[in-house]
Amino acid sequence: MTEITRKTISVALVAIVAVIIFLVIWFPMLWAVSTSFKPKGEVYKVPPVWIPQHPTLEMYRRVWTGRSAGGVTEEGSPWGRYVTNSLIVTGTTVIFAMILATFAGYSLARFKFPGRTLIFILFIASQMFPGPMVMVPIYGIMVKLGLYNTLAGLIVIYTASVLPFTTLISVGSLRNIPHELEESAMIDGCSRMGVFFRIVLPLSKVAVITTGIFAFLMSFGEYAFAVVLITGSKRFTVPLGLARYITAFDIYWNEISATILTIAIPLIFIFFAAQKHFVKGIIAGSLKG
Amino acid sequence: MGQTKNITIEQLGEIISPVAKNWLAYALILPALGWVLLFVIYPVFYSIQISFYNMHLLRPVYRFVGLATYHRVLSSKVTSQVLKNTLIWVGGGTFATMVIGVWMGIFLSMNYKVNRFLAAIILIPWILPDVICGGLWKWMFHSELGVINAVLMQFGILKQAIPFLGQPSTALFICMFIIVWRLVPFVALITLATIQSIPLQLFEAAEIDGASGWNKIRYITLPLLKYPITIGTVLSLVWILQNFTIVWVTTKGGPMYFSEVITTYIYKLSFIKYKVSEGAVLGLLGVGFIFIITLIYLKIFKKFWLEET
Amino acid sequence: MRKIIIFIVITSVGLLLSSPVMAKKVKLTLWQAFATDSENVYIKRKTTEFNKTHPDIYVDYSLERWETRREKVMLAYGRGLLPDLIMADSPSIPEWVAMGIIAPLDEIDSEMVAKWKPRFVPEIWEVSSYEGHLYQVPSFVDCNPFLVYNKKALEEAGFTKPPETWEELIAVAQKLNKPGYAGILLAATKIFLDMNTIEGMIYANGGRWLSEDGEEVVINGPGAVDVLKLWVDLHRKYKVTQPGVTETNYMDATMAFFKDKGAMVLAQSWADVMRVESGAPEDYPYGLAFAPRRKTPSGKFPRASFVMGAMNGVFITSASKHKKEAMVYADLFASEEILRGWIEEVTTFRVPVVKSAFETPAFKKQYPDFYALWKKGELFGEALPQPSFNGISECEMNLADAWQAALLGIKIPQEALDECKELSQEVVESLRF
Repeated sequence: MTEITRKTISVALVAIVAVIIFLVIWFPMLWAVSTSFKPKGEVYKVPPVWIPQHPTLEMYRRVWTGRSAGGVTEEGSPWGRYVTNSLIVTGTTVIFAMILATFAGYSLARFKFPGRTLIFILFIASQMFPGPMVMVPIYGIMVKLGLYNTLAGLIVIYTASVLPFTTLISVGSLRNIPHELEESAMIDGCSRMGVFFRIVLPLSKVAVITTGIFAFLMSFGEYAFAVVLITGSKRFTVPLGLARYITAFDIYWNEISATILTIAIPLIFIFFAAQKHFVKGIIAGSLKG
Repeated sequence: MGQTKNITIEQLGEIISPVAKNWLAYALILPALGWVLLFVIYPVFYSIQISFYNMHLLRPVYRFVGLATYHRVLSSKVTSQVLKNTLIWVGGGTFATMVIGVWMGIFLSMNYKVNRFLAAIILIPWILPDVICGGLWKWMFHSELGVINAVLMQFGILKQAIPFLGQPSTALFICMFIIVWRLVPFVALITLATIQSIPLQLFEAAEIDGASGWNKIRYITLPLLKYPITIGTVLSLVWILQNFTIVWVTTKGGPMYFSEVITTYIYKLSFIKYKVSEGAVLGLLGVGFIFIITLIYLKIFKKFWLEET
Repeated sequence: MRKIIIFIVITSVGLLLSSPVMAKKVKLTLWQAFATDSENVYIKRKTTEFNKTHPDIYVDYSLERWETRREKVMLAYGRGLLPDLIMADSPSIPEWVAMGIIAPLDEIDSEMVAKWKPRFVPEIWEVSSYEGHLYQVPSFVDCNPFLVYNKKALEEAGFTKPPETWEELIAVAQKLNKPGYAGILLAATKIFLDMNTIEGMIYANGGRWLSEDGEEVVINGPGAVDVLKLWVDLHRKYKVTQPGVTETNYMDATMAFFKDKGAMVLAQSWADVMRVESGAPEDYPYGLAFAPRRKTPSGKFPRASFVMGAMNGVFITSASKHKKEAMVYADLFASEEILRGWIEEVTTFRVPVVKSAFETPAFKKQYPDFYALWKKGELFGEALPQPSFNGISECEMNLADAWQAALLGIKIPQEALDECKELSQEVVESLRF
């Protein structure tokens, strides 16, 4: 085989593989984009319509202004409420997680105190636990604490779910802050606490961002605990609203697609903006323990 | 007498002084620790407690029944189906994720122009919430209204639609496909990041020493891949085992119990049939699995990484 | 700093001023189990209007998830946190009466109830009653099972009228079935609405859930087994259904029908909503008929022409401390205006409950076939309430499992229903308080 032929074949192979990868990964979203602009009649047309023949913004209008499946105006968009609920829960979880994980991470990274190994093991073990396996006791605990069917209950359990993993990641990142910096600050008269707030925190940007993003991704899309702990549609989060449409009104796919797009696009922006930091953080955290 | 007193105070001092010295460490870690203890560790114990009763959410009276609930759950035909499904779901899913993910990571690390673009956009399935992933694929695979069947029929490959989610043989595998689709980009990216972090000089040095392309991969890249492989495997195992949403939104465990996995079955037992004690038993089973995986992970963790602790 | 103080002062004064106003009002909490969006909007709007025209009553409206309505109510009952009013479906009645959750409306205000009675269709009044007392003010009913069929397709194949017996159904389906186009579309997922249609067919065949005295589960009797056999034959022997019967629910199936994927579909009375959603034109050639029945019913109970559930209606809880005020709200929803409004203003094709609504142009347009029967006085003659008893939710799940097991060829119909009977018998007995 000539050199040129070999090169052509390998280029072609690479191109095919790349295309396959791209399609498999992105096809659902692209299909959702196309569907979100389709009028009623085109959603289930056979053969399937790839590019809408009569594209319409109707579905987006419905999602944003409060009309919903059935085509009748509802005063006050349900999606507005769901998104607000989700943002409250997610935002608070992110803040709690960032603070607590960084504190704990610094503590584990910097100090060698009795009980440290035990706590390490505890955190590593508990990053495996939170989830549907303990749905039942969490339900019981939330009822006892009076947090059943409240956004606060969700915040509490989401923070608990995220803390182990994010703490460990923070440990990895915070380890890299050289001790000399802290020591020289202390020589200059800074207290231990002051060192933490004035020297360490500003340098732990990567850890904090990684924690924040992870907490955000985990709590925004969380469904299992939400479906157990929330029952009134007043307090639905976005996944609950979506799941209701998908399982009960699964014929309104153009509207569901518009909703999905509306939710996904900000998510994508946030994530891709911080992707570099995030991947760095995960690698640092997990590789270096 | 006086001597004993002194020793006691000294002993006390020995306990207090490291605490006092490290007061900041304890203060910083206390909130996170407390949170985790209360909402992650305690529920496991609460679960154990409930499992020895016969609690039912609609009946206010319940009593201690020892191992009766365990017997009920473990001897049920449905439970064995569920456990079988879960094994396939977790084992097959993890295997597929790792194989495809690592392969994709290696592919992406190669020096093709298109790879920069691909690596940047590949993480979308992982960002999308579970609900969206399950929903999108469920709809695409639908027998009457889904696009996959429609396209296959349009091109004459199929005469009749295949009910992917309605027939026992494929329902679980479609769910596996969805979660593998979701996790592969993550594994690919950590593999990619690992490979990219290998300093070029290593490769250059190897080349100077006369190493071929394949040998370079074999002696430099491959050994380092054990990091992303280990992390990826453990994370995949746990994420797939804990996953509830994808199966729930896609098939709800159906048809019958052919795609029922442990998480969805716990939900059904506890919150649809209200048999919370049975749900707790099954939950403990799941926790047990996770515990074993964690132990294995800790062992590997110790072997690979504990340089300084 | 000063601004903050001023803000706090103003807010507190405002709160103080508004509290006496709030104190005079009687506050009623209303939980409404989710219906379709247009109905929710209607209820919310009417409630807001009610609050305006009745300044001494304030109804706090909250929308609840349908799937967990029963669980939520029962858990609230256990903790003494029930609302004053609930809007939910009539099949919930036996369970809620057994637990003492709902109050008989005729005992709260017998005069008002007596005033209501003549307006309603008597058979529907029965649906909302239990053991001689009225518990629910029904809004509308859903009926099943019905056969929705493509008039044009049937005519072209030489059939002038829709199949009325099972033999005719098989024949028509066989003639019209081709790859990619089902002779008849069936829905058998695990959701209870699919089960309601199946229950409708069982009851039309003389089958029942419970024996006369309510003690024994008889779902494995010939009335039900023969229906299951028919379904299994249609799906596996004659292969005239769509391949994904266990993954297509009632909505998908009806939508598929209007997308020309099948000649017939077994649906509920509000099938036309799917036509609108599918974008099919108004003159789509479809007809609505009673579902085909076996020539003679094989079950030993009398056949029901169809079963109906009042899927939305007003309940007053026994725990409510303001029952009289709650009755005022209920009275609104028993008024001719609102009851007709379900048909005239909210177009989701529900069957009305008040006699005067049957003569409205809207009803005549939505259900021409029904109107013809109404005129002849034959519409509700043999109709029965949607089956319900304490434990129905879990039993319906067992029924779904049995149906799917048979359809997938895992069990033969008799076996599947025998197991369903055993499991359901357990449920019924364990719930006997």
